[in-house]
Amino acid sequence: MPDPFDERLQRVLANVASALHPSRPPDPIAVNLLVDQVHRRRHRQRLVQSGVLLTSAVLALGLFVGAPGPASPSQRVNSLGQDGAAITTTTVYLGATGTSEAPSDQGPTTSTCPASRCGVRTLPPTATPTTTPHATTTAPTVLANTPPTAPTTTTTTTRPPSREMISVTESNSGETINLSLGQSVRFLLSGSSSDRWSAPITSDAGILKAQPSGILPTKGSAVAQYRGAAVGQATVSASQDPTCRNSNPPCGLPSRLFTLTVAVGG
Amino acid sequence: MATNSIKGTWGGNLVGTSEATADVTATRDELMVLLFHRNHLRLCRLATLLVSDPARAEEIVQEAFLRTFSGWSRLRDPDCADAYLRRAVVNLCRSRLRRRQVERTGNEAAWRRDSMAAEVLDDTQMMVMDAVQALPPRQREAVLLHYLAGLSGPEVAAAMGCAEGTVKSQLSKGRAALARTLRTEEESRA
Repeated sequence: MPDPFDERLQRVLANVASALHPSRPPDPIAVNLLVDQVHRRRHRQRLVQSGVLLTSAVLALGLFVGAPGPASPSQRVNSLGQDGAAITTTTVYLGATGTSEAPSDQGPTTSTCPASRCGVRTLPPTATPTTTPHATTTAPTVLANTPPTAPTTTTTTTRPPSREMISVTESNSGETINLSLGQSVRFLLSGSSSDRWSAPITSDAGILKAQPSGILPTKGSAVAQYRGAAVGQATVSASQDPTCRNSNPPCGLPSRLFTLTVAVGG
Repeated sequence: MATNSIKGTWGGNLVGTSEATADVTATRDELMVLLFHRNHLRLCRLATLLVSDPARAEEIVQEAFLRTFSGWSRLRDPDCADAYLRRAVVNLCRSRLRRRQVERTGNEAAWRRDSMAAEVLDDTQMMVMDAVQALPPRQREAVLLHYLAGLSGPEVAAAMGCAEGTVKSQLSKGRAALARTLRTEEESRA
């Protein structure tokens, strides 16, 4: 037989809950939002998983390639000629090592293709490392037990040239600099724990777009990086306030103001 | 909409006892919507009394649905989705209260001042509500899962993630504390 107190407690709790959350049909928008969120989260999970797998594969491949050569039965070497004219893909069979054995009836094979057909952008001979586009070539791959019937084409990707970064320090205060569209300027204001710089702020975020600088400033220093996003002129300013100004009684040291005018041209 | 489908025997938890033995094939999205309609209100009510904050409770329930549905492939028994959801709500409420002790205190204070709660609850209900909120967290969970959600001892243990004996002791202590508090309150009002 149920306890009267239990019945009463059950009834009162049900009344409280239904008073706070009256029975109403669920909002269809909320349901759709939930389903949409689930899809997004699953998609993100798949991306993360595939990224982890890809990274693991690349790392494993890198370790494998970095291992001493004679351990593998075959080795493919991709090389870019010094004149930049041709890509040579050479597959060399090193003979029977370990438990597997390479086909004996097919010797070393060499295939050559012109650079333009291989999709390779060659480096100009006079370029300097600071201004040339970065050309990344695939690492030499080692394929175990793979017959030399289908030599792979070398895949090379190029990145567009990045404009030179302009660095500005507190000594450039009051100056005007010219910036091209897409060019970046980095502000490095060095301070100390007693004289701290505030973050440099632009007067027009449409002209100068903030970018991550990738630099962790030391205590009291400030680092900011902006990219010229539109033609125009903007002012970047920051101030350095001595911390003793906040003490009681405050000291009379003046603040230091940093301003820099940036003209972004086409 | 997802094209992956789930085929299996849905128990009474999902489609009702009359269709307990029916083999139903549905898309995962349809299953989500069905589960949402079946459980949303009761889980909101449970979470509201657990965290003393109706708005926060809805967020918690939404997050519980999201987590359960996102990890659907990891569920060993999709027929027990109701229990998974309940467990997720209890865990989320627990972690919310644990991590945000200060916020919880503020919510409880706001709860008493909340005009909506004062308007919709009468004196007895408010007294019971305050007494429930004064219980230790584990006792409150056991009392609400048993008396509000109507779960049996093993079901409460599954939702709380503890042994059935623990549930019995927590429930007994919580019930005794509630009875004591309510008796004292009623005597003082009389």
